[in-house]
Amino acid sequence: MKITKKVNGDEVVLAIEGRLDTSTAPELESALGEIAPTTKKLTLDFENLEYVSSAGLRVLLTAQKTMNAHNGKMVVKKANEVVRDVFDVTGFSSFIALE
Amino acid sequence: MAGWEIALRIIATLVLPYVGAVLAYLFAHRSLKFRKLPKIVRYIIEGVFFAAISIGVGYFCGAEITYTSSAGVEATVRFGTTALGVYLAGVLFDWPAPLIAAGITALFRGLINFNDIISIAVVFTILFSAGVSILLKYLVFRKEKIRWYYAALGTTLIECFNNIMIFVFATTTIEAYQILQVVDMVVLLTEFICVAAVFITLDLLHHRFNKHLGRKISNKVQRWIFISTVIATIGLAVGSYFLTSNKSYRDAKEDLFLTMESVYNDISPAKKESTVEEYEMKLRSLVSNRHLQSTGFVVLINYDETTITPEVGPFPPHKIKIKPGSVMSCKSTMWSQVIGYTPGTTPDPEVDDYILKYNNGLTYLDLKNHVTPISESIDSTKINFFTLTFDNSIEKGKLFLGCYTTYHDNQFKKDYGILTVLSDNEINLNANIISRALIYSEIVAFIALYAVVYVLITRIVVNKIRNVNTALGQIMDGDINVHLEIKDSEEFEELSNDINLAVGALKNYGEEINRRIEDDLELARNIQYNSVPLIFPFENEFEIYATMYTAKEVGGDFYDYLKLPNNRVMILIADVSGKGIPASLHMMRAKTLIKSLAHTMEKPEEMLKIANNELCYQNKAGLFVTAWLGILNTKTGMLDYANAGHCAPLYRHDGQWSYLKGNKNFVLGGFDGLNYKPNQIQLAPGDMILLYTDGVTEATSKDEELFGEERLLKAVQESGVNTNSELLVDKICDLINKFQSGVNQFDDVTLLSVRYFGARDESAGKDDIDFAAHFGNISTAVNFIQHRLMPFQIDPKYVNEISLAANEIIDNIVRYAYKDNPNGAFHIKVEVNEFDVLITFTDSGVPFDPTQVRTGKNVEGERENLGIFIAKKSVDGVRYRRINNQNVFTLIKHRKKD
Repeated sequence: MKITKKVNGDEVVLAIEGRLDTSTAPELESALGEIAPTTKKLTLDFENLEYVSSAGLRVLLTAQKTMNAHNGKMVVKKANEVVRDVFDVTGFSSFIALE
Repeated sequence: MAGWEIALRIIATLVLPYVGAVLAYLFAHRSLKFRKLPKIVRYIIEGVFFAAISIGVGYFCGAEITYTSSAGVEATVRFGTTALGVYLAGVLFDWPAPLIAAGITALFRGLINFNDIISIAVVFTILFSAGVSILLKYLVFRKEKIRWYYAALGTTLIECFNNIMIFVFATTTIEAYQILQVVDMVVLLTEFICVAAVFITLDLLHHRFNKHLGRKISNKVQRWIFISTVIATIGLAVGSYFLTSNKSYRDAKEDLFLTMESVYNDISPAKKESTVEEYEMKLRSLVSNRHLQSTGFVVLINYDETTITPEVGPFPPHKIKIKPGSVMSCKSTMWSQVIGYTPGTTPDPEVDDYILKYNNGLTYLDLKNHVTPISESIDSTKINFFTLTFDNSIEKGKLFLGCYTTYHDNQFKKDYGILTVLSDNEINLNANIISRALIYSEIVAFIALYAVVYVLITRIVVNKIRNVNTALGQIMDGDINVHLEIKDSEEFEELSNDINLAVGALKNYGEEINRRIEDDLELARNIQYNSVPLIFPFENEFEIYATMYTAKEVGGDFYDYLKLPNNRVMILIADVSGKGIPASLHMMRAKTLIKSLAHTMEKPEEMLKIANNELCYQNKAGLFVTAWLGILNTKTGMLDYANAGHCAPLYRHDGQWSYLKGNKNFVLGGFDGLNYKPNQIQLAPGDMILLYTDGVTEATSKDEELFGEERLLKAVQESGVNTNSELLVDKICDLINKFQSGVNQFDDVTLLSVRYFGARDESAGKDDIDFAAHFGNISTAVNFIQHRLMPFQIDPKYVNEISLAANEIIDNIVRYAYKDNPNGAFHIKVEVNEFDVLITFTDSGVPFDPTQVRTGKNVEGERENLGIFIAKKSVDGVRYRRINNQNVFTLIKHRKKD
């Protein structure tokens, strides 16, 4: 998995490539930990993400909670069909903003 | 009353209640209309009907009896079987009927016909018979069927009671005796016969005779009490009759003697008159008005003129001649009665003269059968007793008892004879009255005693024995949870305790045996279950999947497959008749046999022929096997098969399912030497065959509905184009389980599915590898799967979904399967054919079935076991098996969507 981070003021964009699964989830977790608490908008670009596993979902859930605590906003962008399906069946699509 | 009229009345007395009772009983039990009436209405109808019978029998059929009343005039009384109707109502119907009948009859008899001396007695009897019939039915026989002889005997009780009542209420006992003497036996017999006839008729009509009567203790007791009661009653009756008649005989003798003595005492000190004539006149007046009971009399005889002389032999004489004028005096009416003189025709006090004239100057007293003469002295005078029979045309054969003595008058030098006579009738009358009353009372007492003893014995002994027997019967029938409790007598308490102990021991022993059998059966089940293949081929050209559920621990179903040289595969499904151990042993035999034949033979029909002959050999249990045996050439898709009495399999071609009929043959193991007809079918890629045993089509629902072939056909048709063997078999199993939920599975259920993919390149499709169970290997393993799938040009989206699911499953294995064991490993097998991708994960960790894991939302709305949930959602099917202590988990993904 590869994570590309772009910071634009209080907006952060993380582009994730590959698979977000058990082995890669800790990577994303630490990347999210490095984001400044002042960040107002977190965009996760899933264009090149193959799939997200339950371990990945847990990280996304933590991120969403953190952003909520900072009154920030988290957006998931360009998720493919597999990822969307996982969000749908697990109910994540109801509290994660998908664009 | 004329003889024929009496006969007619007796017959009417028999027939009317008989016909009435039989018809009433049959009507009440067979007429639906009547039975639908409210109970109270039925009781009233029954009561009124039987009251009508009672009244009819009493008044239109009863006999008119004439008797001499105590006032000395002739009176008549109507005597009939009035209580019979009431009694019949009681023994045939429920208790209100006889009460109603008794009320009506008693009112009628008491109010309308209260003018004769037996009315009160009859009213009592009517009420009594209602009571007796109810007691008989409810207390003695406790609503069981009353045997005819007991029912009939009830009438005897009632009639005896009636006669006692007549004795009690008649003005004098002689009147009662006069009436009863005529009719008591006739009435007794009539009622007995009538009731017996009613019961026998109903028994015959209803086949109510119980054939096992004689074996029951209660019946035996009943019979013996009955016999001893009858003997006691007869003995007592005879005894009391003899006692009373003996006593009255002795009383009579004393009476005769005392009367004679008093005459003697009167005449001997009588003042002597101057002439003989005056003296004799005085003697006559002394004797003539003397009473001796009501029909006895005293005779004074002029002995001097030798008017009475013993004709032959020593005293007492056998014959006495009485010459004219010899009878000096007697109570004229009595004497004349003896010799046939009608009182009141002659006012002449000198009756003796008249008698002599009447009897042509000579009267014989024939003295025979004399009792031992008692020679007693009264002033040195001999007194002799004897019985005498008058040899007289009118009173012929009438017995008299007499006492005779002679007296010598010193003054006139004359002898006189004094004779006192009592008629045997009168002597016996009292004895008869007393013994009759006694016999009636004895019969009543003994029948009552009989009933009481019978009821007591039944209550105290027989019912308890019956309880014991019922309990033992239940135990014999296999219900060993019976607990017997009879507490009110020591013997029965001991008996019931012993039985309970024995049953308890039996129960423990039985449970022990059951446990052992269950263990053995469980073992057998394991052996059997492991004798059929549990790992199924998933080849380039075909796949096979099968499942088997046995009904009773071990069953007779089996399936098998065997890869053979030259691209052939043998497919077999079979069902041994019967269930349990015998069927499973036979199944093992058949399975081994057919499998061994497959190695050397090519044609299914020939294999079945040999198998049949082998299975017939020493098949003593007569078990047979139905089998479907096919050999598929995986290169050409040609399927040769033969069917030995097995149900036709389902066949899918071009997405359409149908039953694959074909030549059918006889079952295996039935007759040896049979030939089996072959079948052949060309399978196209994608064709499927579903084999099953009759446990599938004959699965039965709670409503006793069969699953049936149509339902099966519909189910497979709805299974979708992309279904594979495993999903299809699992789906049908689910349907059957749902269908027969709540019902014990009756037969084994076995299903085997084959899917043919067509000839394939042998190098494609399958690979497997082992991984150590470390987190670092998760992505390696997923990469391996993706790599293996690459040549098949599978939709990348599907590959990602497969990878996602694999990721979750591997994550799970690494995380939980081996706990702290660092040497854990897992195995991945990737199988691909034209339709499906199968990824199988095998690990030796703790048993864990992901398909059984809860994946619902918890109370906080978060999903439990999210990983497994995602894995299941990402593929089309999952399968878990525990084989050889390993978790075998398979992901199934269709290559095309339905």
